[in-house]
Amino acid sequence: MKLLYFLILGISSFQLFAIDIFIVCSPDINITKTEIKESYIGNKQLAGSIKLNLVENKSLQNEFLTKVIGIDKSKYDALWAKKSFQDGINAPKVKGSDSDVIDFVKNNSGAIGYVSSPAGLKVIAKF
Amino acid sequence: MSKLLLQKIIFGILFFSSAVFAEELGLPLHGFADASGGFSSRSTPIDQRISGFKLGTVDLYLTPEFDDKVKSLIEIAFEPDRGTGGINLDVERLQLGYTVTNNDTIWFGRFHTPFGVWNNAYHHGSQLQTSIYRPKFIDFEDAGGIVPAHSVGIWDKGIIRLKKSRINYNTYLVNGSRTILDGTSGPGALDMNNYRNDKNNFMVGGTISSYHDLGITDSFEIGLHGFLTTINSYNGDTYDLTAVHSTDVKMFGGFFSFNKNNWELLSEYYGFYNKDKLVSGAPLLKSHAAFAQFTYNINSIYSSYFRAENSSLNQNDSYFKDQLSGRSYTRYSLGFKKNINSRAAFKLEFLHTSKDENLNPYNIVQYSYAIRF
Repeated sequence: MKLLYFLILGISSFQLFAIDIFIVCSPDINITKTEIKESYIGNKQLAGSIKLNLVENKSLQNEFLTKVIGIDKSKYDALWAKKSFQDGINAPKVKGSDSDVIDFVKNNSGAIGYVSSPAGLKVIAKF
Repeated sequence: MSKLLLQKIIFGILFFSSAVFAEELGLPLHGFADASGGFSSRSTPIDQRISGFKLGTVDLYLTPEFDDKVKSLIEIAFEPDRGTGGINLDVERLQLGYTVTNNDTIWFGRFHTPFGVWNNAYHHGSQLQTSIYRPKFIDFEDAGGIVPAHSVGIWDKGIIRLKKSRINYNTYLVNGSRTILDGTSGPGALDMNNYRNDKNNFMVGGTISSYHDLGITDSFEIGLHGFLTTINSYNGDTYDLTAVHSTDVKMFGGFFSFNKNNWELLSEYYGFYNKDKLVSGAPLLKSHAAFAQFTYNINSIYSSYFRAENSSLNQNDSYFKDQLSGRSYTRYSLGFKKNINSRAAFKLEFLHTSKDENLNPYNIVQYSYAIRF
């Protein structure tokens, strides 16, 4: 019985951890998988001549930071506080859910966001 | 109520109103604030020797971006005057930027002079800074600094990406600073000439460094910095007075920073090679100043740090002689910082300073509670 319990718990945990994150963008920009991280830590602001318009998804932010960026939220916030104060650039806007991010990416030039389901948007990468 | 105070109040109200308006438009208003207290065994208004409780700086900044390539950074600080205790209002930075490429931005306006690492890493953000005090010789001009921490002019900031590292560079052309002497030729403080140049004296300078990413927040950087300028000293702050002293100031030095896992090391060196312009055949006078700070962090919550500072400033050099803080000194600082959360920190610091003005050594113990919003 205990074995069954741990098996179910293990499968559930694996599934929780295995949420897919799709990085999506507006059709007017081309950006590579490796440039995603650079953009979200403020090192890349332009794609060609188009200003990148980054957006966070609050419902997936912790998973995104762990899987894609490789740091926790407090370090990420501190990094952006320094970046903004030193370089005069703004941290990505925060949206609450997949649908908010999808709306934003559909309606803004240079937009990049992350969602659990891409809903027909241009996908740059899947993590 | 004095006219000046009234102007400050009106300006403050206007700034806050525009900040609230900006917030409603979705433009975030950021800021820092701190309050501190402590004891100094030699309490005088100059430098950082203060006993009692102290209002810190309320620092507000906005970073409006206007289109794909135009950005700006506006930083306003309210801080107590070290001489009178009144509240001063300063436009600390007014930077209007043009993003040339991902790797290059040109800034126009007033900014923190890009030398070393410290001056552009922390600015007036007390909560970001590990220690309470900046190294004394690179403190702000009105707080004991002996190099022009602020500048007005043009600054090109860029990077050259290499395979596994990058080259960071800064070049700038700004108004040369001047020294406003106190009363009858007593030592005074540097002034960065916000409004115009001082007798065609520009300051030109730059930095170049090799920067290596050791992780998202870890890095190693080593570089060189320098500037050339002429600094005149005046008995008064109106323009076009006759200079009491005029010094060709050349600064060359280097800096180094290492940040990996729990360890941080930051060190900067400034060598001065100055010459009096008003005396024919005047000798070249050498001086130097340097600091090194070691920090150990635990779980991004606790930090302890030790800093050593030393300056040897030639007192035959009018550039140093004319500055209230232009005396050689040695200082050791030991401190502790606790991040209460990602936006608030408590700090405790002990400083021992010797050789300052050839008087007795003195000690300072101080706490600071700092937030950002």
